[in-house]
Amino acid sequence: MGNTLVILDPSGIPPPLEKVRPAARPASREGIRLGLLDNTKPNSDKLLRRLEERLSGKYPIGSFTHYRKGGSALPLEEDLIDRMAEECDFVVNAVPD
Amino acid sequence: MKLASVRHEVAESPLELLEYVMERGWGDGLPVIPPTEERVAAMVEASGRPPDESRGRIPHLFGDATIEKIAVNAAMAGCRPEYMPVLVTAVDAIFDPIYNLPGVQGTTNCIAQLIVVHGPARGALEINCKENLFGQGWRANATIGRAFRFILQNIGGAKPGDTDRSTFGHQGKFSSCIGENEEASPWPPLHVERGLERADSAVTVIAVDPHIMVNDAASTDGEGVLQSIASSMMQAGSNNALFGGEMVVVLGPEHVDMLVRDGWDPPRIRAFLYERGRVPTFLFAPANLERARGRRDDLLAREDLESVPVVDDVDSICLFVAGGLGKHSLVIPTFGNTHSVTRKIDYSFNG
Repeated sequence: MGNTLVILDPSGIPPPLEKVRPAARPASREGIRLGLLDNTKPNSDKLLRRLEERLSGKYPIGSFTHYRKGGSALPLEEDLIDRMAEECDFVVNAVPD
Repeated sequence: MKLASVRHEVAESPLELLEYVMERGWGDGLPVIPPTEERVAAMVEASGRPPDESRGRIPHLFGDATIEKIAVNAAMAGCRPEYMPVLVTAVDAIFDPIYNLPGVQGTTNCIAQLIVVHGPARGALEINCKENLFGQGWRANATIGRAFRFILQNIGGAKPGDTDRSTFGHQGKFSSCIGENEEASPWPPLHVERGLERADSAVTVIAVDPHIMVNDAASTDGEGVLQSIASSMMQAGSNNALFGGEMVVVLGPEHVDMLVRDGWDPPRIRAFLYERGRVPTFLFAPANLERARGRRDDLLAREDLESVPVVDDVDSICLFVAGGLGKHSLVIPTFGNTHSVTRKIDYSFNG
C-alpha cells in the first residue's frame, strides 16, 4: 500500500445481546391452548384456518383462539401481546402474501 | 475531542477507498469522502453536541445513532459541517411512532425517506427549493440526503439486498433532500401550519413512494389544476388506497399563482383533493378492495361504498409549494402506514 490515511467506522453499534430463554414447554399436548395470529397479510387467515383443521384432527388440542394484528407493517400491539400471553400456551404467527 | 469509532487504515487512492467502503457494505456505489478524524471532529463541533450523545437506536439492528456516528456518515457523504443540525433533527424526527420507522426500514415497498427543510436554514445552507430541486446539482440537497441514507443503512443496518428487502428500491434512496419554496406563495409554510414560527428552521421527514408528475399547462383556472392533481392521487393499487395514511402534494409555483388568483388556500385545497381524489371502488381488483376494507374498517366496512379516500382524513394531505417555473405539480404517495413528522432545528447552541 502506498500512502495511507485513517478513517472512522460508520457502522452503528447495536445493543449488547441479551440471553432470551424460550418459553417453558408443556409436558403434554393434551388440552393446550393454541393461539393463531393473523398478521393481516393476504391469505394468512386461510393458512391459519387450514392449520387449525390439520392440527385438530391430529392432536388433542384444548382450544384454538384466533387473533389479528392492526396491520402487517405496524408493530404488534402491547395489549394484544399481553392477551395472548394470558390466553395461550403457544402462538403460531402466519406471515404469507 | 475523543472519538470512539473503530479506526481503519486505508489507501489514500480514491478508487481503493471506494473498493474498501463497498466491500464492507457502507457505501452507495459512488465515490465517498474519507471520514478522517479531523473531518468527523469538525462535523461533531458544528452539531453543538458531545460526540457520545445518543439520539436513539435505529432499526433493524438498533445501532446507536450517536452524534459521532451521524458525523462519520455525514463526512463520508460529502456534507459541510454546517449541515449537521439538519441531519440530527431528521434523525430525531424518524423516532416519532407515527412515522413507523420499523415498518419503513423493513418493507418490500419502494420507499425513500425524504427530508424537506423549512425556514431560514434553506438560505443559509443553500438548499435548493426551486428548479430541479429533486435532481442533481446542489451540494446541500445531494449530500444531506445521501448522508441520511448512509445513516439509515450503516447505523440502522438496512443493507440493500440483505436486511433492506425493497423489491425495486427507489432512485431517492441515493439522496432525497429538498427545501420548501416558501417565497412562491402567500400561504404559511408547512412548519408554520404545524405550529412553529416563520423564523424557525425545521425539517419534515416523509416515507415516500416514487412521485407522479402532474402536467397541466392547459387549465386556466385553479379548479382545473386541482382536478388534474386529484386524478393523479386516485390509484387503486397504491399503498394509500389500501392503507390510507398520508399523501404528499407539492404545488409548483405557476399552479400556485392560479390558485391564489382564484382565491384558493391550503384548507380549501385539501378539502377539494380529499373528495375528488377518492378512488372509485370499481377500479380496485376485488381481492385488493377486500384487503382495504379489512385494514380500514372504520371507513370501509360498508356495503354501499362507492369510493375510497386515499388518506386517513383531510389533514393527512401534506401540502407545500416547491419547484421552479413550469405548469406542473407533484403527487407523492407514501408508504401508507406512516405519517410525516416536522421538527424544529435547535440552533440554541449557537447562542
